[in-house]
Amino acid sequence: MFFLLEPKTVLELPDNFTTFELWDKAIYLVQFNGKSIMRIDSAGGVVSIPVTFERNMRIYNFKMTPFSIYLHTATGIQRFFLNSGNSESIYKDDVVSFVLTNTEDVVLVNRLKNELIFLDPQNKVRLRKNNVNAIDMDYHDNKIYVLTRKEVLVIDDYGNTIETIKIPEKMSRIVVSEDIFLFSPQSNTIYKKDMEWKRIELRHSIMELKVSGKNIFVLDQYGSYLYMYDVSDF
Amino acid sequence: MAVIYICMMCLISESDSLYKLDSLYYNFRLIESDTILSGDTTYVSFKEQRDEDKENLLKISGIKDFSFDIDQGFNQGLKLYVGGEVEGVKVRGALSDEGADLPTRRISEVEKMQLELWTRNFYGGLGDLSLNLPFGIYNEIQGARLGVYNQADNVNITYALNRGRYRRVEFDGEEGKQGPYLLLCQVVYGSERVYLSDLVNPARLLKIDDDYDFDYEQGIINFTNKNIITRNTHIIVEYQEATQDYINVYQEADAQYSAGGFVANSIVHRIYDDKNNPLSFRLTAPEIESLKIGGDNAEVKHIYADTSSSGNYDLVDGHFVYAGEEKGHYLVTFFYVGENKGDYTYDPTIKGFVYQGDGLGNYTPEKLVPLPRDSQFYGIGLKHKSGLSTVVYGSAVDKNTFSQLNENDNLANGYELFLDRKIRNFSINGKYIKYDKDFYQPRGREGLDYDFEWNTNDTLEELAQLNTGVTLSENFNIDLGYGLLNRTHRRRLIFIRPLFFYCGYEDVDTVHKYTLGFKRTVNNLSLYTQYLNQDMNHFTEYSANYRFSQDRIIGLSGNYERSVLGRAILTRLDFTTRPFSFSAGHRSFYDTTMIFGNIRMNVYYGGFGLQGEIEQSQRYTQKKDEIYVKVPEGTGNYVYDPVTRTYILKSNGDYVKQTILLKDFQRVVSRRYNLEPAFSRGIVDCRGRFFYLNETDFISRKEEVNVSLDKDDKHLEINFQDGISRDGRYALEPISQYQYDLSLNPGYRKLYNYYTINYRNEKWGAFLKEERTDYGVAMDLEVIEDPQVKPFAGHKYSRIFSDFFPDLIFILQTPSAGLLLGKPIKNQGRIELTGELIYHKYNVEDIPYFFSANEPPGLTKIFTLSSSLSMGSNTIFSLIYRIQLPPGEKPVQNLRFQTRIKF
Repeated sequence: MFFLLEPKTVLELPDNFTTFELWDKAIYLVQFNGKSIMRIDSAGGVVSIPVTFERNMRIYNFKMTPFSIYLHTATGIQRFFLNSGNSESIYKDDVVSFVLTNTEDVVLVNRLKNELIFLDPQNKVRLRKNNVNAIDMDYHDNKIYVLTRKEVLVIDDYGNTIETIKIPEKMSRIVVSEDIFLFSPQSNTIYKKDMEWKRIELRHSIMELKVSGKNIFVLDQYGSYLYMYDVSDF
Repeated sequence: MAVIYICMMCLISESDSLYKLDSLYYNFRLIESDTILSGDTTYVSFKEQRDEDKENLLKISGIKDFSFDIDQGFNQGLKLYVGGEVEGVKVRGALSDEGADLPTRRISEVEKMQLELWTRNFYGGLGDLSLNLPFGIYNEIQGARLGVYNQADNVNITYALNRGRYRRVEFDGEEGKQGPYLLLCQVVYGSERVYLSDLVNPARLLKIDDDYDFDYEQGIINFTNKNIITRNTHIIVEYQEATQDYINVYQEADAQYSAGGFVANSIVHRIYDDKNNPLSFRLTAPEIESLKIGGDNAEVKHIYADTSSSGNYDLVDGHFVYAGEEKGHYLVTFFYVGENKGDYTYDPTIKGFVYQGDGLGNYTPEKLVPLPRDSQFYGIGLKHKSGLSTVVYGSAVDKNTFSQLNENDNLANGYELFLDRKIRNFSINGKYIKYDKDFYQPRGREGLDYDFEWNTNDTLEELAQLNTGVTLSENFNIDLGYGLLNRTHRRRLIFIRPLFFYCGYEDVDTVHKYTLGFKRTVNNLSLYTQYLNQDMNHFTEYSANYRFSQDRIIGLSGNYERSVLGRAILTRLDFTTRPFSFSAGHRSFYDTTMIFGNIRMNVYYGGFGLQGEIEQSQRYTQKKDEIYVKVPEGTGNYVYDPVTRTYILKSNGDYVKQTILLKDFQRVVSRRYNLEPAFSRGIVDCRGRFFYLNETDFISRKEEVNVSLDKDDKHLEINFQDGISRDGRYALEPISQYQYDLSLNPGYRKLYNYYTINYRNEKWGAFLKEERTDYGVAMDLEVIEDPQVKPFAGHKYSRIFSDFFPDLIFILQTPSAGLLLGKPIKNQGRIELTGELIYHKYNVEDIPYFFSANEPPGLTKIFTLSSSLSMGSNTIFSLIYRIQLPPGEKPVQNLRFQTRIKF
């Protein structure tokens, strides 16, 4: 099936961004230079949260918690404390992607060793699962969704593979809410898993996509506009 | 735009919050931006947050975990989240006892907490608070705030541990130095406000990251190329210096009441040091006695040295003399205090500090004991809607609460009168300020433009200023002003603004300024220029911008200066066209030229993508050295090798590394880039990361390339990474490192292979500290899926060489084999048992500790039991036991036991 969607709302952003998170009724966006995170709250107030002093550091992905931000950078995973501005290294190596479980444990994929690694609350390795050729991953409802080039591996909190879902074509990003969404940053195509994979075309290319309740937020290719769609339209 | 924001935010589901709750206080000041739609405070307007329509529901959730580690002992953690509304009381909060340990911020054992309550007329908050208070006071605290309010009237009280003390520093920029500018103290995160002014522009608030970056731990500012720092740049930094001397208690109460066109404000503000709880030192009885009799100006020095049989300093003639590692009787801590402010310097040849004499060094082992202070501030203000307002202040400052002496000079007063009125085409505003010399206020005493307007560093004690404006027509107005500062400085000004031009004359004492300029926007073209003549010194600033379309803009800007010192010119060109933005320019003054530029890109075309940034700038670098400081056994991360006299990186060691800054500065051109290309088509995925930083005496480069091929059941992945760094900032000789890693991962169904080549070397000058090449192969095969049976094996061949042992080439063979047995219990848990044998075989009998510290020769056996099981729907039980049996050494056991309860 093929759909072409129109957004409900479009927001012009104050700068260019590479990725974002929806959290705490606010939008958190990574600025293009990758050194700080900008928070746009419900009043439209803009706050820049500096997270690094390293000039060449880039943030690829991040997760928010009430007191800290988990950052995925070229050197691994760092935890940045919002109140003190201190940060600690959670894991040092080349990481493909990571998720936070609902108990705030980090699960990540090591790029060089192709390992899915579960860290415990003290950030020590609790479990390794090798031969995982992951491209991206997401977490929803106590399950880890690992996107590979041919399938989505659904893995429980204990590292057991409980389901394997074939994908229609190679995609590079996965977002899971009640449904599974697949997309690639340079394209305008989204796949949504219902009973079968549904292909959706947007009028613009996608940099990042997040689902929030009944709405889907999409950052455009250049990171300068945020589009909002109704999830029921997908 | 505002409607879109509000609409969008309302549509963000609460379920996006990991804990379905809010963090109430935003620790970050708002930064001026076009997208700010409302609010001038980071302190959230609590009255607007209560949701009247929300149904009664209170949710409490959290995680409690217990763990036992055989090395680290028993540990526990708690995360608690509460949110909802019951009987008209809305509650929201979060609590965690994890986080970085900061001695100044501990409230009982819980370090992170945020809780807030609302009713129709009451608000209570607990946690880290950023407060914007009456009379322009801004505080960062950790504590509690309660408020009662009715419409705009309110009464609030606050009690907390203060996170920092307000500071303002002003200094002039250095020509061609974008950074670093040092504050020499630790700064409370997010508390800084940085302003720049110059000859023609008053102080302007900068945006972090866009305009500057800030190292809070070290108190260092670096400016980006957006603002080129010159000798005319005046830098103002307001910040909270992190509380480090004593626990600092914060008490505050404020109120606002309005009636009959009047608004009354008041505040009582007190911060005091808890003299019985110093944080970073311990006072001796004689020191306390000296403080008691010393009065407000007591100067008692505390020496940071302890006697120790494993010290590295001796006390000779009242000075510390370096005796060698573990050969002295004192362990001494030295502090960097800035050039010619200390009495010791670091000598890199002996790796120790040498006494030079007072004011001849940059380090010292002694500091003046910080005097515990008690600072009280009172303010009451009245404002009438007519534009007239007045404020009366009082302050009481005890500079040494240990001492009862000098108590009669603690009190001081101040008052302010303001008038701001506009009647038809006539406006008038004036102010009269009078402060006692010892008057204290928890904010800047002078306005931000004090230096810009008055051209003096005198402390403000009395200021009278009157400005008037007449608008004769829509396109013509006149401003007149007269001011008197401390009854010694006089300032007069007149500005005329016909159409879009303006010209003016201003004199401050003997300084005369003539200004001429215009500002005009016509369709897509914006033009601005300003000329200043100040005592025959000429300064011109200009900018021109043309907007072709929404995302395509070109601009030219700069300035020109001619003075008795010579000529200076700054020119910059900015061009933005999606997906590129480009900015470049130069600054010339005398024989110095700075060329700067930035390129940013974000390109996607077909299957190809490229993101990155290229920059050239100019900054100063400082020479440095590293020393290793002894710490209690097992708490460090280095061990000392007496044969090579080096420190080897090893966990649970007894040394930590510290960086020492030396006196030498050097101006350097800084070039850097980070580029990340990617390509994806068919069965091929490629991605690369290229990082580069060159600051003349420091070069760092890193390249990473990753290629993946995937077809049917076959998979091949090739990774190549290499990195070079050459650091010439070290005192004795440059340290250079080079490494590359190549891995090849072919896979077929359940068979997994892993081939690696790793090379690394480290050189101190021409001396090769270590060169090592590893060739490795590993494979595993999942024989049975459930229960999982997976044998694995590997082999590593290593060639190691060091100039410490020039006659030897070490060959290390490391075969290994093991078996993993796993029992998955889907959605319930997993049990794994792993046995692994690793054999280290060297080609020589006596292996220096330098090499064997982390890889002892012989057979090492490792057994690991790992299990995670759910007990019920909310409890997870984990057990990890690992025993390592190294050859000839006692077994190393590790037991970790964890229970996590979700509720």
